[in-house]
Amino acid sequence: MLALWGLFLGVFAAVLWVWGPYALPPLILTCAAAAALLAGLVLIAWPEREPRVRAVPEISLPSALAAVGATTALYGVSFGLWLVLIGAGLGALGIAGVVRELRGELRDRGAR
Amino acid sequence: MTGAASAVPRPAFRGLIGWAGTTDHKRIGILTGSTALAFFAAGGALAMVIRAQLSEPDAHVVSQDVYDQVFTMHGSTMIYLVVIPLALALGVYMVPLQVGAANIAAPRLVLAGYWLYVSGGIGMYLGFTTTHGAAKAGWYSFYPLSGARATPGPGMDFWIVGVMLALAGATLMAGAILATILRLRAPGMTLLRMPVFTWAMTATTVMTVVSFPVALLGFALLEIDRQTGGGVYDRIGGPIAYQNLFWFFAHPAVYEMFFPFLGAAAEVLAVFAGRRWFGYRAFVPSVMAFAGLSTLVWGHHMFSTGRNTNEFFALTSTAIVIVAGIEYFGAIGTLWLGKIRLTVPMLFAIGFFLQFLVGGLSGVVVASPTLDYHLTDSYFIVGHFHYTLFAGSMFGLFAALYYWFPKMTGRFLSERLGRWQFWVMAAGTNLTFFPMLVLGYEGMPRRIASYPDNPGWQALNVVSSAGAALVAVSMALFAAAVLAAWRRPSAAGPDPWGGHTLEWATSSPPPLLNFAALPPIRSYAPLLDLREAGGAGPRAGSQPALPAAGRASR
Repeated sequence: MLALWGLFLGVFAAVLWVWGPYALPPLILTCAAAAALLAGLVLIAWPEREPRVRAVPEISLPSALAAVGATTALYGVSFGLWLVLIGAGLGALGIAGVVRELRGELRDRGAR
Repeated sequence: MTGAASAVPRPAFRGLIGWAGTTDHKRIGILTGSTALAFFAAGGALAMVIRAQLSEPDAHVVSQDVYDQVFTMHGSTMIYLVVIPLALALGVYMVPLQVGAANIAAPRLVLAGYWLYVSGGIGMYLGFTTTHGAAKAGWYSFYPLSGARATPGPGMDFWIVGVMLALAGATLMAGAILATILRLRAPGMTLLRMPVFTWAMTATTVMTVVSFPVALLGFALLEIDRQTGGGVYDRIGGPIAYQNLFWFFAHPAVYEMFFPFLGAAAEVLAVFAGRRWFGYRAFVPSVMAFAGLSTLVWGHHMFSTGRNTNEFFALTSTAIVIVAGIEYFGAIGTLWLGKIRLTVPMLFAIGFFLQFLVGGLSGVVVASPTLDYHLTDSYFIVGHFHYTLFAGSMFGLFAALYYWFPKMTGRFLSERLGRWQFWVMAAGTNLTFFPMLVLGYEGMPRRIASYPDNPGWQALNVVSSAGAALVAVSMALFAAAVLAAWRRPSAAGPDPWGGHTLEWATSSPPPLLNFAALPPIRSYAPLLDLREAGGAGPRAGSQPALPAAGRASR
């Protein structure tokens, strides 16, 4: 489906390359078409796995912390380096927490 | 398609912390939707300031500078913080249920996406606390208006970073919804057995993951430009490059704010007409072609720039009427000979299709470059996009809310207040936005804080402002309906409407892993299949008969 959709965009991108004198619009459209086509081909080439137990987390505070850290760091662009560093620290803590959660889930799956 | 699901035990957090870190797609959907409705109240208040200012020719409710901030933040709020998040919130909540999954794919990313969105919104509003005020370059922030020279001060920077965060959050949510559709469908749920709403979300999310990163690039370059004193866009062709990057995101975004509500309204129409969606197999390719065309017509926003392939974009924009026509044909075919129940969701769904038609037809007008040259930057454009985004999408949203509220909460919204809301909102919407089409045709420019005392302009603006007040009343009626459901709940049961799709095959609200058992899936409407096979009709509060076949959450 994604690959077909990418092809659809690609055909129109080709028409736009031929039709118009400007390079940027068809370039953007070609990139979008290529991205969709590539994602579609990856999905086709990557077959669905056999049904398996999927771990569904109930809560993940580190994910929220990572997002808030990234946000804080970005706002630091206006406020100053100190806020970028605080945000980066929070983000790193959050990512470490997520990694810890994922490792725990892998361990649980292995034990089952 | 996925295997069985098991909940990972974690420390039991309750209350606010439990909600803040939740990875349950239903809770994240409710969080996102509630936050978007809170921003909707803020954006609506700003709209009332705009309408107060324009209710007479030379009013001084606010200064020109404040007016610029107000209309910028009104538009930005409604686009980035309200309609896009509401559309995705519906998807986050409903898509896993409709495809029979235990949870959304990558729930941590969805949670992170929610927090990026909230932080972005707060940042955008923080601009009001700065010395130069909030952003004032419009929701599009065209360059050089948004550059450091024309709009100095951190308010504009907060806006850019805030919008980037909100869009990054939306992209994460959309990616997870798409992954759920592609990888977590229940056994038997082939692509051509997915519900209409899920297909609409497929179109939405494909467009989002393709177009939103382009906007992130455009806004990141804009911020770099501001920080470096004009190092990026401040050269020949720079402003046009910005517009191309912006509209490549923003035009599909308009449809991302439409498709989910189209899907929801289509579900409502089918359920309350007691029929399957007419022409399902035509709907599926047409909605994907609709999404494709919507992605490649961004240049019609740039007809008057003089550096655009107008013929290509006019032709492809006009071609949209073909695929849109298929959806409307499907709606008419579904209603035709249906046993129609005029419930509140049905009223809003019909309202959605009728109101959006005005937005769509006024869009055909501006898809023609010759007419667009006359109408561009006028109030006609404001009327047109409000007919698509408010008169269209918001009616679809309320159709969805009244339809799915019993599923989300186990309670009904008041039918009586809902009917009042519908009629007041329909009157208010048309009184507000139709005069804008006339004013724009007569030449009233958009984005102005005062206007000349031309014959008829004040009367039309007063009608528009009065209509806006009615819309505000209709929103108060919705708030009252929610409050009434909260204080005097009436139990809805698992399938109060006689639904067709899988979300009605579980309790209301659904449990943590969504389903105890799934019915066999042989079409896009498995519950309707069961009823047709068993001859049972819908009963309020009744549990559909579910055979043990098909274990939950594969």
